Amino acid sequence: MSYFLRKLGFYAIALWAALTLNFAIPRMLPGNPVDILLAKLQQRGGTVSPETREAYALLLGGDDSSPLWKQYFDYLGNLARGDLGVSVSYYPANVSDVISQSLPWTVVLVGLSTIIAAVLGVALGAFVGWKPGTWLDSLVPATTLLAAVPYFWLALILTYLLARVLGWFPLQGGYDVTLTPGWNAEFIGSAIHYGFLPALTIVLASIGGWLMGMRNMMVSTLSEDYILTAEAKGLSPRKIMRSYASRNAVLPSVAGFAISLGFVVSGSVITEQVFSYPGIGSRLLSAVQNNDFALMQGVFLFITLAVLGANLVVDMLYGVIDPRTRARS
Amino acid sequence: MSPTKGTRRRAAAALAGTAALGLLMSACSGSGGDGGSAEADTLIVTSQAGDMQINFNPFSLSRIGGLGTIYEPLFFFNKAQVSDPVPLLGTEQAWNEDGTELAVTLREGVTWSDDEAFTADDVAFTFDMIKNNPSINNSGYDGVVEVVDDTHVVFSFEEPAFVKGPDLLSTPIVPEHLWQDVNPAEDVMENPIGTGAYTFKDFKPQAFTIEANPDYWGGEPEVKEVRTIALSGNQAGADAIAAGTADWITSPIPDIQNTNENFPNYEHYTQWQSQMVLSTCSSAEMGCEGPQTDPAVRHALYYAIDRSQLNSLAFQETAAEMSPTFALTPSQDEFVSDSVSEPVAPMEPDPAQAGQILEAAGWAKGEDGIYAKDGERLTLTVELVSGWTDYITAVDTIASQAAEAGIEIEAAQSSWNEWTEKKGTGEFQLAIDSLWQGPAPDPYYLYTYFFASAAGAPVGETAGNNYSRYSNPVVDEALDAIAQLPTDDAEARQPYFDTIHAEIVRDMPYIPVMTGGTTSIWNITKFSGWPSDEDLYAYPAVWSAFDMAEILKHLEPNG
Amino acid sequence: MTNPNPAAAPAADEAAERLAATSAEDGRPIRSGWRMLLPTMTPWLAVGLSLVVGITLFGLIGPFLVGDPEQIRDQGLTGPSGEFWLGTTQTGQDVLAQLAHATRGSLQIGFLVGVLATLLSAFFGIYGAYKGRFVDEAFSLLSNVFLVIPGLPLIIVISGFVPRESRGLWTIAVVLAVTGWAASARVLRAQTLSVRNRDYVAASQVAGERPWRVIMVEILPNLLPVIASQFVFAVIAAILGEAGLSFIGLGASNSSTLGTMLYYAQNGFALSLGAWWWFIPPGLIIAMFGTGLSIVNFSIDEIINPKLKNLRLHRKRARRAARLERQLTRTASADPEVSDR
Repeated sequence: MSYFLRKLGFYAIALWAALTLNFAIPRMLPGNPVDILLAKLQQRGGTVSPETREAYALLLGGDDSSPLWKQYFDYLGNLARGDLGVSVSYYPANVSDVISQSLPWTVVLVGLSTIIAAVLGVALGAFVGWKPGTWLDSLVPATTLLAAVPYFWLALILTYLLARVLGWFPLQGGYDVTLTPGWNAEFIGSAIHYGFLPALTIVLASIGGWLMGMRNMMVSTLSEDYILTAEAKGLSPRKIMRSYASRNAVLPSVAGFAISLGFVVSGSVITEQVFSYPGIGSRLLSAVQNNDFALMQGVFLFITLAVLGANLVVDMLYGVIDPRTRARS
Repeated sequence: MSPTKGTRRRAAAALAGTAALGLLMSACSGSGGDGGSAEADTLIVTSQAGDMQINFNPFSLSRIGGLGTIYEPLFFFNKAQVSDPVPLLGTEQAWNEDGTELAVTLREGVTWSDDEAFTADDVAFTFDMIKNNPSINNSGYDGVVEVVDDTHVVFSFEEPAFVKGPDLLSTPIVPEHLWQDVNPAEDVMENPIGTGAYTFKDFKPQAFTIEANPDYWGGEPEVKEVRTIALSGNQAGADAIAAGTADWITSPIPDIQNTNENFPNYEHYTQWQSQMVLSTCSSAEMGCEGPQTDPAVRHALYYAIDRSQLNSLAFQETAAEMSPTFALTPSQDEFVSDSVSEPVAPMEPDPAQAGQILEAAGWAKGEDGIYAKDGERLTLTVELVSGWTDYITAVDTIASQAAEAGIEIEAAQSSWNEWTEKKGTGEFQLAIDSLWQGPAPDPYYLYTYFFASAAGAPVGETAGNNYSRYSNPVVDEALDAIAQLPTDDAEARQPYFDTIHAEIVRDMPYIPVMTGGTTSIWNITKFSGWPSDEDLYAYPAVWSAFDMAEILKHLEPNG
Repeated sequence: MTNPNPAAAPAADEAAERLAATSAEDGRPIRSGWRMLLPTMTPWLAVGLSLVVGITLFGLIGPFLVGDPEQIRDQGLTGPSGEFWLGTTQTGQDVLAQLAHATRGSLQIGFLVGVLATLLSAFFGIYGAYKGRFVDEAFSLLSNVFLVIPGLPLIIVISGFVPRESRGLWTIAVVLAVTGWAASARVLRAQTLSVRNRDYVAASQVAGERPWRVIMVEILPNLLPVIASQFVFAVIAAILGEAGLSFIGLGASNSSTLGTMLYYAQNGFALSLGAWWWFIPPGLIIAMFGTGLSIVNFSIDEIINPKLKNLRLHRKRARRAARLERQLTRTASADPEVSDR
């Protein structure tokens, strides 16, 4: 049982660290949202008279002059109540509303493509590791190349070829905006059509890691004694591969899944920007560009929470499926 | 693009199969694809700032739409050319002699889109609300509004307020019966009710739609629906044109001059409003430091710039000539003083003249080809915003041009907020930027924003718009005098403009570069009636709300 | 990568294999000591090394051979020609010259981050594991926390706040290193734990050696391949990370890297204009360099995990046997056209 307690304790600390980091970063460095708002207004051809400046300074409020420790506890208190503050760039919308609008898109896109990449990568990796020396071995350098390619560069080239030149997929967006989002075949079909290219990019760029990891584990596992025993028993190779080798070799990949989730969420920030995808990553970037501190913090917090949560779930699962983990701790 | 949609979609399914992801695609039914551009009377415009959050409050800076289209002002001022205001909710307006009272006649028989009647009380309510809420009072309205009868109101001011007219008359009017209990700074107006040609239809973070108002006082507009789609930036906008999913964007696309050849359904149209300048921290008395505090340096740089080359390399030939008087050329040429010897900045460089100006001011060319004075090399740093690629290219180009004239230019990129802060506090030498226009086609506003000493501040304190810290009592006096005169009394105003022009051309606190073009790409196959050189009834830019509303009313679907 | 002609791949393999096989067959003594730490030269390693060395040389020497990357020319966007091998940008700048300078910038970032991240991970991983108990607990907690906090969003948030003066190459490098060291610290910790329980380590501890000496002399050499492999990973991650940041406009200011080059190409609509010579090469260099490093890493992996190497040797032997057999049958059928390989 102490394994689970330890893990929970660890995640509690990680959560606290993330929250504190989130609190500290904006306070360490300067920036003035009023100026950014005004500059934005000017760029759009709006009239910015001295009165406008005063009006907005008034609207957004001045600096909070209460002591730092008080700000910190207020911040934690507000978080506990689910209050992430007000977004400056979408004023007067709440940060949590802004985020909840975009979150499902990212979760579905990133979640699905990560699962597809993991399943495909592990399956292929098991195969490559099981049958070394076949043409499948050439998958190894191929996926290495894919993993070393900059995400967004690949995304842009794919878009250019598949969407621009061939016209098979839409260039941008999350769905056909003439449809109303909902649980109907038309909308879901459209969302899949629009999400295909972003998903393909994520899958292509992340599949290599899975494949390599699984292949290496498979190779290591194959020289274990129990495989020899199984072979000696005269079991069919297929059965050995499925029931003995893969099952043991896949364990580290399960652990890796959680960690990779973090990387994929990160990478998808840029992918979303490239495809004008309505997810949380594009919100993060626009928040950065607009000095919208509250929104920046909120998005960062949500991403962190998602990754922590996924890790926690995987860790718990891992403890259940691999008894050695519990014994060791 | 190819009309054979069916084949393409089948091909897509085939590809998905080979990519071993067929499970995803098999659910893909027909209707997705090339967007809504198929509907003949729906116009699709773009908002290029990412996903939207619902906000139709016309007083909110984060509003996503509704200004002009749903909420109308009293008059429409066409910034694109010098012309009379277009009557909307108001039909006539007249100042008294000393500019302290403005009488406005309102249109009769107008109703809000919830069928309540529009009256003078709504107008009075709107202005009182603005006055009582400083955070939405961004034009500094401080008058008193009096309802004479249902169709007449009078605004009175303590001091002559001629120049405040355009701001006042462009204020969107809101219905009293719905707004009396609303916090105008914070309510997002999810269901906007106005008098405009359009009414709200639906909202999604990725797109919102407004539809024609059948009861509009000016008659139901021909364009039945207008959808604004959210895109992530310029590249996305250009892609939307390439894919035919947008009908009107106001952002650059590749090879812009050949838009019609590349995309036969589209045409491009450019108008010029934002005057690009190298702003200088010009005033040594206010604490500015660096060679740019010497007017000779500013003039030398002005002559060193090769504007033709700049236009072709950095601006895709969309920029235009600029007047050192800062009156827009050609639309405001009538304001330019006759005494200005060079009404338009030269397009070709003149390094020789730049050299003469510098030498006359005591600068001498050093061995490295760069001028110097009292041991100080003529090196200037230009602040620019990372990501504004056209400006970055422009500064690169200017740097090599200035080197020919013996001036060394260095570029320093920073984020938008740092750049804004540097300008605000005066911690800069040069900054590439553009100056904007006021609410009416009148250069007066630009001078008060950028040349009046009241808008400046000493270095270290945050300045208003006059971050060059230019301070000239002669200009200030002339501006005060213009404020006392009716805006249509050109004859009385001109002497003061002459004074201002002489002063600012001599001092040149902002070095004129070129007038930046705002280019729209629009669908000429689906719609006609777009603004043109012959009929420039509004300033063509998607983001300029009142102009866009005016254009929507002029458009007609073809077919 | 799938080869339409299955015969070609083994053929190429064999050619290289003969080269490698000579040493294996000549019954030379098994390599021992320090040499065990060096990877075996395989054809793949050769390819990887030549990619890495080639691109590094391009980044180091290239900038001296090309013209001024900033030089603006009136000709604007033109394709590759005799004068400009990789064409010019929108403003007539020489793409090849930019590429050379940008490659240098990216390598600089990659190397800096690689060193910084490796130092951090070595400290937290090795020192923590060696000291054990509380220090180990604290250090591994720290690295686990850093591991789960998503890096890129954090970097984006931080870069959004850092003012420009301080957003030079070094800051970006430090930020990338700070967010990227944790995974390798975990790997190093695991390896250290297994090494530190070996008898000779215990012996030197008993002999009264000071801790840093034990770490440097007894433990570190055993970890070198692992450290090398983590360093290589860190370099790849840093170059990719920096490219991503620059691409969204948050990279090091006033510096030229492959990421900023892509950023300008994208903003200049390079792809839409069909200017592949501007857009493709920077990404390709990153991809090639990353691939090269990964391939080098495979070879290092074989040192860390000898099973992987056994696999390769085993495979090679099996194939030789099969070939011999084939040859034998062919000679047996007395075919005169048998090649004299």
